[in-house]
Amino acid sequence: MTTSRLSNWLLIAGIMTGFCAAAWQGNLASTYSKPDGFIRFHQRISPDAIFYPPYAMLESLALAHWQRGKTLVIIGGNSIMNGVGQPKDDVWSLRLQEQLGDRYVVVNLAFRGAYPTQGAALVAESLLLRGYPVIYVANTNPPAATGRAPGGASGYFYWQALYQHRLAAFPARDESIRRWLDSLPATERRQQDEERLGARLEAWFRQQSLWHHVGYRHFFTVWNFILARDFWVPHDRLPDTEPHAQPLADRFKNFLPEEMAITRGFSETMAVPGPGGSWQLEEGNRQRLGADIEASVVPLLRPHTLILLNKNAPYYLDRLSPAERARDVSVYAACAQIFRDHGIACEVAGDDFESADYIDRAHLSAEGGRKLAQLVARKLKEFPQP
Amino acid sequence: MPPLRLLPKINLPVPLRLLGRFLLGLAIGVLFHYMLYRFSLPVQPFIYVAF
Repeated sequence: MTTSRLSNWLLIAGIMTGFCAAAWQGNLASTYSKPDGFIRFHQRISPDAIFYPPYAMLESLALAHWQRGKTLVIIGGNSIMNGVGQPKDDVWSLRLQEQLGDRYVVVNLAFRGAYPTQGAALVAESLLLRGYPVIYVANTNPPAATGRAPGGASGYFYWQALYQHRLAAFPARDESIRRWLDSLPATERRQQDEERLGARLEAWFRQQSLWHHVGYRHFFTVWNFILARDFWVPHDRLPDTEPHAQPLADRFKNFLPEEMAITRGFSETMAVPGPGGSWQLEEGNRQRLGADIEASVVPLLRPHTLILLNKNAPYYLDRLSPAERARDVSVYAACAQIFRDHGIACEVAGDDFESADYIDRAHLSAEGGRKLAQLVARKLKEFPQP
Repeated sequence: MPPLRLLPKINLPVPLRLLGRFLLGLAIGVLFHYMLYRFSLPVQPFIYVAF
């Protein structure tokens, strides 16, 4: 063989070796237990800042502090469960850990804008399948219902978990997602196809696991406007800068008409007048919520799940007419009952909360977080020990 | 006409040249892996809106 041909072969061998070595490192990175100091996915280590933690990282985080004999409490859901509004030392999941004691390990895997069937729910499902003692806690509200596992900023977890064979067989979910994909406009369908392809490749080559690990521990490579000049800083060194709540007198001042419209919207299209001035959940909505639960919450997970229906802040509820308030109460109670009818523990969170417990219409202050932790701890202690 | 060269040709020993070629391949392989990661990231940033 001439030197020139040998040189070309060595180049090709180098490319293949380099790629395979990176994939191998990615596989190793996907099993690392992530940082001791992790509290939550705050804004700077979340999709807002182009940081898309791979599904494997969520599983590693969930198991990082678990030991035999302890029950794992996995928190999913949206920004309310993430603790938006609570500085890092006051995040409600820390208070929940204190309330529950050493027999439980609480891990907050909630993301801004996530549905209760996304991200953390898939981790809970996967760990239950493998025999871990898990309780899953997440939140939603009546119109948002259960959502679906793919779609939105947290939807990629589903495709990654699916192609990494972490999920239970659940034909109703498969069928529901297939119909949803068929109903999407071409651009959104293409986006989902790309996410699926990325997840397939991740299962083989672990490109997300490796480069997010590098970004987390060593240096991040993607510029984004939230971090701007600090974009390269290893993300485990980025402080959680969630601010303290404003003084009570300064809260709830912005966008009052818009926030009132949203508050009304939580029940407006959900209920119809019943006899004697009462309200009933409209039949289509009742059926839709039941069907959503059946098609999106895997039966294995239901007895291990607590769903919270978060109420809006009293500042807004108190401005509703008496009839609207009655409608709001009826809708929450009816939706909670539907979850229970499908074998899922469900509580309305916020009935006894005050304005000081909120920083805005939806998010809880440190005080509100403490009340939420008390409520959840009380309910979790009623769960049968796994 | 002789080939145009921007830099003077360095006559390295053959084994060193082959090693350099392999190392270049390694770097390209890692770069391909990194590009897979970058291509998998969404084009549009996620902007959080409370619901």
